[in-house]
Amino acid sequence: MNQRHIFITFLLLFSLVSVSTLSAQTARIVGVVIDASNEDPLAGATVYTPKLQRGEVAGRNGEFTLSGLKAGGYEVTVSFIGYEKQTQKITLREGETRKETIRLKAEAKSLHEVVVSAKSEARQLREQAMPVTVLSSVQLAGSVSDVSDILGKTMGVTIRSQGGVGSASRLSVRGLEGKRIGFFIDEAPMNDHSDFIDVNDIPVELIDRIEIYKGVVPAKFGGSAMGGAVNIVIKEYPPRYFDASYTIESFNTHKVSTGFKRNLAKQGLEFGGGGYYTHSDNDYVMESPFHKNLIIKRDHDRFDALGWGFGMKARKWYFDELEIFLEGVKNNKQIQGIFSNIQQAHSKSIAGVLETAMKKKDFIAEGLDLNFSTAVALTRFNYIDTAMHRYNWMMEPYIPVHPLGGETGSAPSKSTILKTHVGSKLNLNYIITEKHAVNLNVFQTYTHGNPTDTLKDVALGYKTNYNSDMNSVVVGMGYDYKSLDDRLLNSVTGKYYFYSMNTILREYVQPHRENPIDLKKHYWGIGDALRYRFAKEWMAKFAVAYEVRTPTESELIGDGYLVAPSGSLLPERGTSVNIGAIWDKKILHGMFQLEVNLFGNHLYDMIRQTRNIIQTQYDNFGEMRSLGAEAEVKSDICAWLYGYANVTYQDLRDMRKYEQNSQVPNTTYGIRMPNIPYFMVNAGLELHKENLFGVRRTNTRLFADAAFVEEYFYDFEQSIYQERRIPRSLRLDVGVEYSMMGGSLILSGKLGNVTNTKLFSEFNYPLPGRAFSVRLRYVMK
Amino acid sequence: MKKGLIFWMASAILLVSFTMTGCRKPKPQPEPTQGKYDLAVVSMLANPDGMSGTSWLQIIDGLSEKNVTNAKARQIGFGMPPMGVIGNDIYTIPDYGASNTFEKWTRSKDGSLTKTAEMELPVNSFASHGLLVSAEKGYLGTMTGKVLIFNPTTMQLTGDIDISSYAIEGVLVPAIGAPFVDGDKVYMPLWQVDANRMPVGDPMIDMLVVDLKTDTVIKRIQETNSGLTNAGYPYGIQRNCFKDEMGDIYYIAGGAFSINPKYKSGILRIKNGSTEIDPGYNWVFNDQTIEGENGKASWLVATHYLGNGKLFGYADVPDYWTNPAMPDWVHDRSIISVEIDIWNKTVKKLPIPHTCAYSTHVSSYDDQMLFSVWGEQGSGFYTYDPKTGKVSDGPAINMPGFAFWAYQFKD
Repeated sequence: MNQRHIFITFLLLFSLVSVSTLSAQTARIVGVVIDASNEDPLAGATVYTPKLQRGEVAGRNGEFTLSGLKAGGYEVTVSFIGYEKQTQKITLREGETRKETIRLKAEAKSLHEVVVSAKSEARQLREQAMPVTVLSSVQLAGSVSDVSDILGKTMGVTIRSQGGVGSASRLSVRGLEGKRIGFFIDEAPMNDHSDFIDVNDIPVELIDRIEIYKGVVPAKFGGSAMGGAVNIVIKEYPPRYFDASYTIESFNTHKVSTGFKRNLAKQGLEFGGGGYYTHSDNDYVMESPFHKNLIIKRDHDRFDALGWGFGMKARKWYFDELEIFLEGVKNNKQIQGIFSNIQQAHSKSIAGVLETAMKKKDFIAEGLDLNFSTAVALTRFNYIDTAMHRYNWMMEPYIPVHPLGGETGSAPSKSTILKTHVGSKLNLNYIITEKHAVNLNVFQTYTHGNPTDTLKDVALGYKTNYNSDMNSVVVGMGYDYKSLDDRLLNSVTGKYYFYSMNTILREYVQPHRENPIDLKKHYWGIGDALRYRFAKEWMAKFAVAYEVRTPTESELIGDGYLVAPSGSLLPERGTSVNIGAIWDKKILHGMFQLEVNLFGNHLYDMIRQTRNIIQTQYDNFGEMRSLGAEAEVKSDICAWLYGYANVTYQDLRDMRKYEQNSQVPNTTYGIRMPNIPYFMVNAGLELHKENLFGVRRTNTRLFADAAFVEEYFYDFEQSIYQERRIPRSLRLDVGVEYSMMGGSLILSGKLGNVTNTKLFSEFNYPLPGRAFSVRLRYVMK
Repeated sequence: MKKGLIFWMASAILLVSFTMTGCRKPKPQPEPTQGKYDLAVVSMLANPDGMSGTSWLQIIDGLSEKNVTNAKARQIGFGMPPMGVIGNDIYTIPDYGASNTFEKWTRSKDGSLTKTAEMELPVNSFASHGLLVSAEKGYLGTMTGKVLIFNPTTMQLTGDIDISSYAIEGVLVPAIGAPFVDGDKVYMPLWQVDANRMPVGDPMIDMLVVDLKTDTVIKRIQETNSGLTNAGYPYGIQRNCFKDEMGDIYYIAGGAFSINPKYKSGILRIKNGSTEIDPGYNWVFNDQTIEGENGKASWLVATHYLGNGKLFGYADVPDYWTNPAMPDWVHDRSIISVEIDIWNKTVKKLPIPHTCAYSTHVSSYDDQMLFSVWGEQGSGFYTYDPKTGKVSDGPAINMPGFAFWAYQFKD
């Protein structure tokens, strides 16, 4: 540990020293890496200079710059997966700028290289048959936004956030949301851990790409996402790396993040680590949606989060890659009241994770690739609500909810939920021939929960928290067919789900009997995705799937108090169809992309909450149909201007014909599902210029983004006099990024919600108004 | 050329999107029509999340509207029915847990409704019911230990009665049941309950007798022997308390909504001239035989006094629960309609389909009775003729969602 500290300090000093002796080092190599046969730029290629021990990564158009060089001779090694490495010898004079074009030749094909095409991973994913949108690090780069801002501008995706930094936010893909959408980090499911880590907690600079699967979810994501999935892939840094950034934003928000990597090439070992710290007061001013003319400054919304991780990757220990990682997350969150003024209730959580992952090609047999990972996580969540008074908005005290205190619910709480999670994932891919491949995915989770809340037990007069054991296994088997010319790719997958739950449930009614619960359930699903490439630039996709979403623990078991159990709950079943076309064209100044998708989804046995007089309960009585279209155009309009625009129309309607257990027609049949936006448009422009005003080694970017959401109702529409609406909104953000010293130092600023327009999430939770953000980032180059 | 194409396409997308949103149907004006427009009805719909929903109030043309829709209804607070009507003014309760705005709606002869006033109640009051005493005075029960007093004409809060000191051990503050005015006194039942309105402690009837003019408590009366609990369940216009032709006051005791059989449901009486609960009456329903029904009732939900000792209402019979251990108000249509003879203490089942707890409104329209039913064949208001015993064939008025409330304006 100490050694690493010293090492990092040394690294930092070394880089600073290099930077400070700038004056004597003004030569540079400016180049582009392309495919020798078709001149395609190779974004992501590594350009390494052993003399300086420096690495660069080729950008979106294959471009790279090695600057601050002294006069003299250099060897530059360029490499990219699937291509033969190339080394060039270059001699530079003092202050010279040398332009180089590096043409890489594809490697001689062996059996598995046929299937691994020589393209960036992001591009490969886009060309899969699955309907997927990929946001690569190039698109994420420089943006001062956080992850939810970026996701929110993607077609078909909305982020339903309840407030500012650290507030609960849900991903919504094509109108389906919450537990129907899977959230993954490096393919590990995070939905069950929303108390610990949220989409927004991941600093943008640590992200390599974000994969957004819509309608059809690949088997490797196991679990039971059915409407879609969002997978955030953390960066694989070049062999030697260090990155640190500090951001300051409105509402007393501070964010610090850092990442580093160090390579011991001879032993084939890599060490890496990173961390982040976020603090925010979230003290924005809002207009109460419940009390007319009441303006409230949020004063109980503080959020603190700390995350860290570090690990080791070995490349020479039997496996191609063997990783061991240790991670931790800790956060504290105050609860901000919107209807009533909450002053004390808060939550905190802490989690520690140990993960190992191993990858091996030609495992046991040639053509059989193995990918296995396993993780153990220990988590602790506390909810504290013990105030002896509630306060109104004038800070006048009044009675709590129960003689023993409490501000929320109907009894005080001091809960501790300890959970142990063990999860593993196995992926085996076997390439039979150039055209045929089969794969097997097994995904297993075990969770042991140990909740206690003695205060609540005393308040209610009986115990409601019991230990629980939950097991789930999802097995997916798939078969891929690819035509020799790579025009046609078809993937068919079958999934099998097993779920078991063991716990005790206390009956709400007298005499509060304890009922043992021992549930075992199993289900199956199937899907097919087809992709046909008409021409080099034109591709059509078709995907259809029948998927199942197993009920969550809280839906099946309830909470022993306010949520009644529904042990007989069936899984949700859905059939989804997606048809799309992608046009990917190289134009004079860069790229042009047009993508259009049409989608449909019919959800049966939809699990919906219903309210009894005393409790709520989950039931399979919903049926919903969605139809929609989304389109996106992105283009490098000229050398210094990039623009994009996308539009999403999603029409989700109640399809339940009758009232429960009756022949009475459902009043809301055919009516749009409430609280889901149905029409969204996003558009933006980016201006970029190198060496603006003649200042060398700089790059300036200016951003402007607009997001429009059409007004929607938050109840089922019934009357011409309907009042509860979430108003139409148009949100504008502008930003600027100025990178200096060849990209080593980046200063960026953003003004969000420039017009200070009133924005609401569903249920009319007010969102922040105009807010600024400034970031300083250092990247070792 | 390419540059131009991109710009054109992008603007086309934006242009199309804005045009589409521009083409919205203008709000149509309500057409004036002939008709009596003397029946106010409320329909209630739950949202997919199950926690929120909408209630819709409108005036319909008596029993001539066979199929009611909410297309021109006005939105009122979800969860509780209007707390009362004076003249042409309907007073509606705030959206339970999502609003503190108490509203007044005025009916016009053509059947239209206008919101004429609003009053902000203190935050977290959870005011759910009360009593309109006169055009100048009304009471609203809350969950904060105060009975709010207001002026219905001016829609201003004028005072309150603090009942928090009457909490029994284990209760934070009591709530109230339906208040009943008798001359210069008001009976205010105390509900010794927790935040979910479930009774705490031993079963008993607890009541305050309050001076109507000064709003001071005269005395406290209790009945602890019968097991009856929670007098005056605040449901519907009839409010589960009334006076018969002898001048005796009757109160319905709701017990614990069938959840806990320790707390009994039934009827209690305060005899004319007395201000004490009549110990000789205390009619417990939990063991009462119902003519035409094998099961016994565990909860007398809602009632309407027609006269001559005849009380009509709804009773929950646990025999019809899917799970005998606890009621499931969504699946179980376990509530039957009954005719009760309060003088002879007999109960008879009526030939009206079973319903659920959200659809238990009973009141009269001219010489008919309206029973709301959320049934298997139909959902809405059935009519019942008390003279002939005839029930309408299916709902006389089909209602969207739950038929939650009805009120006849007698012009």
